[in-house]
Amino acid sequence: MFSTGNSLLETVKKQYNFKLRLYMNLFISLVVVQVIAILFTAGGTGSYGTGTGNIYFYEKFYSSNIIIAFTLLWAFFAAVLLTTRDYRDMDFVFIGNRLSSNISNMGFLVTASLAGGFTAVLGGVLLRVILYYSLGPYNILSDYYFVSLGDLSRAVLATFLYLILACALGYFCGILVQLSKAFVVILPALFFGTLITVSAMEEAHLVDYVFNFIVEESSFTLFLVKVIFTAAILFGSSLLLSNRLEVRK
Amino acid sequence: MSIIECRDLTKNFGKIRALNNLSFNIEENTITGLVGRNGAGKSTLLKIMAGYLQKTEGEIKVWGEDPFNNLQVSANMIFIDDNMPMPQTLSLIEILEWGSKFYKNWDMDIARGLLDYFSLAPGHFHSHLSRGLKSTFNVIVGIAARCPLTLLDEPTTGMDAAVRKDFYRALLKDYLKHPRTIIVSSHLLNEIQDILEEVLLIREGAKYLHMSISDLKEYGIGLLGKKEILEKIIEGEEVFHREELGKDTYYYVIRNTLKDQKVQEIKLAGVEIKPVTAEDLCVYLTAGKKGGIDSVFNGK
Amino acid sequence: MIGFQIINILIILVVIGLFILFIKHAGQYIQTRIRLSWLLGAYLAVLIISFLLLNVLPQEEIMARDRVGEEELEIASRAETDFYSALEEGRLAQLEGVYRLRSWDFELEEKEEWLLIRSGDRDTSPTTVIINRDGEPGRVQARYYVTKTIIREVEVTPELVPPQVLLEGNRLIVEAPERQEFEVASFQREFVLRQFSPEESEVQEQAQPAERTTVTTVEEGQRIHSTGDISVFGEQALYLKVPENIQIDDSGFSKLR
Repeated sequence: MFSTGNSLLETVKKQYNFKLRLYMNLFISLVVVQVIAILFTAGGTGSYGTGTGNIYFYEKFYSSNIIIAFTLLWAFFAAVLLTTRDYRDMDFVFIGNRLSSNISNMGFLVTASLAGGFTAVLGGVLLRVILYYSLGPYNILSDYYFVSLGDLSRAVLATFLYLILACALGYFCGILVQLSKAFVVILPALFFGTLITVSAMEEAHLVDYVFNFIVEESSFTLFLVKVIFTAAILFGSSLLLSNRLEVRK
Repeated sequence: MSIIECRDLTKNFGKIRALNNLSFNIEENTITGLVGRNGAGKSTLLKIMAGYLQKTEGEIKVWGEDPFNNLQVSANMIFIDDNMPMPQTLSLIEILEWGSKFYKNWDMDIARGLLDYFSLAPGHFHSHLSRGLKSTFNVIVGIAARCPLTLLDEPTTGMDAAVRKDFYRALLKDYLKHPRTIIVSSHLLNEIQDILEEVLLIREGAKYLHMSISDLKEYGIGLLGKKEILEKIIEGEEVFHREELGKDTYYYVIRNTLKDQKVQEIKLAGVEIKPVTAEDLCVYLTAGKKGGIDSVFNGK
Repeated sequence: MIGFQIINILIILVVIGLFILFIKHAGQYIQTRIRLSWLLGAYLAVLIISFLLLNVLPQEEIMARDRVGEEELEIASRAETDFYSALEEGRLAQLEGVYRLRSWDFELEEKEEWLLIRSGDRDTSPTTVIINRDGEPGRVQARYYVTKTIIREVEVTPELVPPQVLLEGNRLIVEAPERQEFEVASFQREFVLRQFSPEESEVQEQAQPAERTTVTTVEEGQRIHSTGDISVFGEQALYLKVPENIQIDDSGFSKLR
């Protein structure tokens, strides 16, 4: 009756598959978030007008930036959600320990990031098609309009990596909050405080450096390495910090 | 063989001491009733066994290992209580299907059968169920999982009497067919005692007694008679309970260590001897204030 | 400055708040009557179909009006600088980058005709009119010349509306065209990819004034590098060839001869 050989790998696999089904609502919220983003973008993300005499030239800009930004936010909050009490408790209804739960969560988040990256970039493609029919092809310039499979893969990959980063950050913040409720106040304060100081000051060396570490990396391989490294640190810390947390209190 | 070994187990929640130097062993393939007042520490104990909570001091071993963060223990154990965090987005039948994917001993036929018997629609959602039906579903999961260690914390909460009866019967039948170690905590000892083998009584976080149900049923004896006579009889005996029933009639409960001869004496003195149910006995044993609730009304 | 930031931050706060609310409760509102997977599948299908569609759409239509290269800009720029001198010296035909947009020919009814040339009453800048009195008697020829107008690297010259030239009785009316508006849509690179191609600067990012910026290097015989120029507004002139003895009453426009 007593079964042995319940390896970590086996349990992680079971939990991962379970979560793909269990957390499906998160994918629904992804769809909604992206549809809203597409609607926002449909009006253009910026414009520039110029003219002289009786000629006025108005150029409207479009991009999938808003879609990607919304998806990044989604990824962050989805990761936070997974660390909340109800979700952690659910992990222990069947089989699992904290390690297997965390690993399966991370596996899920990576999968979700891939899905998010894919749909976000394709959302931009959908936008292009919509504009083709609403504005007419003559009024559209061909810069960055056509998207080849290669363009798609590059964009999906880059977005995927940014989403993983967002998830890792969200998960880490979520775990911090589980450890102490004080973080519910500390973390947003830190975030907005930094925002305000950075926008007010001309130079903000430390924040700049941290931000640019990822964002200004122009070599794709280095970028890949940096993202994996940072995500590993964040996820790893989350794992260590949450390993003694109690559940079902 | 002891499945669960507990030595001086202590659990604190901040300043509150929930478990206090608790020591006991649970043998394999037994049904043990975990009894005690509200707040005595029953749920806490079960959750520590399940690996959900951490102990503060002492030792607890399930299958020889610390149950906290233990995959082996988790894979062979299931914990059911009245507010299980069941998935909100899965239908009942889907939850059962996932149960079968996780647990190697899962019996899907029993699960489906019970689901049907209790008129639970497979396509419904757990959050839509009434309290009683939620508990019913939870115990279906608990029974069908056939885990070598099955922990049930007040599983009958919200169930009506008929359903409770069915539940005891189902649990017993499956237990007899597929033996496992079961620990059930319940207030309704009278109802559940028929399926129990052992009883573990917890009082204020510590073990009060741990014995077979049959022993417990004969542990105490009730004496009904006049106060003066009773006071004489109980000299030297362990008294569990004193109660005034009417004018000059008192009811005392003492530990049953009486020999036949003493019994005769008591009867001759005009005192009535009554058996004490396990449930009543546990109530007396875990009583707080001396004098019972009457003392509130007697202005003492 | 700070006030502006605070509004930004408030907007972010609201968006984040809605996000949290939404994502947390998404599960409770969407209890599968419809299978969740179908919704997701439909969304994915739409996305994939749009990708296929995009690659099937005729490219020529989109590229019909597109950005032009630096060379075109330079030609247009040089033509623009040179236009008036060429006009004066009569070598307009030889100048590269000058185009005759429209021609009119009129027969005058009487030989000694009063010609009143007027610009239409518009607030816009009047058309430059150049009068040449070498014309044949009884005929008036009008030619509208322009250099290319390229705005933000998009050539709009073919779409420019030339002024209206009409002969009414004894009046030759030149009406400047109405205000013309061009609207284009352009796509930008996703910000996640920007960092990997730092050399590329996008047209959108250049907030160019309509006027040309100063030329950085001018050397004898060398190309004029107008760095950062993305717009050239073409010069234009209406060239009128009229008979010698015609009387002209002109009101409010420039002429050269």
